[in-house]
Amino acid sequence: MLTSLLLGALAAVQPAPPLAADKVGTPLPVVEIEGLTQSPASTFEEFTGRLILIEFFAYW
Amino acid sequence: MPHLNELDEKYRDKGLTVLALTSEGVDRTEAWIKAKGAEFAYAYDPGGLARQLGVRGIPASFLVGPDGKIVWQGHPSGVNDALVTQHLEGAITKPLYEWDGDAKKIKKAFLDGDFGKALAEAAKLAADDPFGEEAAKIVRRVLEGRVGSLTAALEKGDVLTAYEGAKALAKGLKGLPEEEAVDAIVTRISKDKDLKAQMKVQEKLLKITAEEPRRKKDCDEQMDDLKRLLKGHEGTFVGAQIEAKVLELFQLKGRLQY
Repeated sequence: MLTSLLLGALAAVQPAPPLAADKVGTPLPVVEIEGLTQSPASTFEEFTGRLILIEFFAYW
Repeated sequence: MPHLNELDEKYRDKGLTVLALTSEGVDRTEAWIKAKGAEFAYAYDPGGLARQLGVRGIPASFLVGPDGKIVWQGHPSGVNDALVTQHLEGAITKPLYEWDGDAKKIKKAFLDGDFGKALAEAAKLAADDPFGEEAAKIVRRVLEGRVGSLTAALEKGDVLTAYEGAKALAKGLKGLPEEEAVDAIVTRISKDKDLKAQMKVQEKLLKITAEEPRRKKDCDEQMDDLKRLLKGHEGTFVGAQIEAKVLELFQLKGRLQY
């Protein structure tokens, strides 16, 4: 009970910032990626016309 | 992460491409990919795509439609079957890297933006191979999408996108019925004082914000320039672009150390 009160107070003090600005509806900027792996494509361009799910990740 | 493997397997043949991007180093990333059993495509993002997309927290996902426009963004946990199937309409089921033999010529012209040539090659191929007809359909669909998004951009006041996009697209449309419509966009903008003025403001916006600020002072300078630029353009598309940029800079300033 005390924990949830504390957590509630913390949440009120530090609202989570939005993850990203709203880019929905805008064209994807030109993509210059390197080391494309585990894909039959050799360049990002070869994904043209596909529905592309991009996930930004890190090992940590 | 496991959800990406699943989505990849489930929707690859229906038009979905899964691509994970990281700004971290190769060694740690490779080790992590192996440990997690990730089988989907991944790559490294030295070009700052994450930054350009305004990504502040990881992980973050973006869904890009077949016409190259972002249709959804959010936390990866929000990517579910419903979201994917909702946007699969119009996505190519046979990716370009699977186009071989004579279809490669169509692909090359297509990627070069030479739609006229791509369609000509597709017609040639269609004489012996039904895939030629399918390739032609795909090329036409992408072309329609591009013309459509230029018209939409102009309608909502994004003059710069419409103008530059139309000029670039027109190059590859010689002799095609779409050539007239696209040329008309360029002409219309060139002859309209108001549209040209808005485009100039958009160009100025890009110039002012070209360099990512590294100090609070830089943020202030850019914000001041932008507030001056905004005068007289409140309520327009470019006005909204300027205001969004000012907000971004304000938030960035708050995160900078000095």
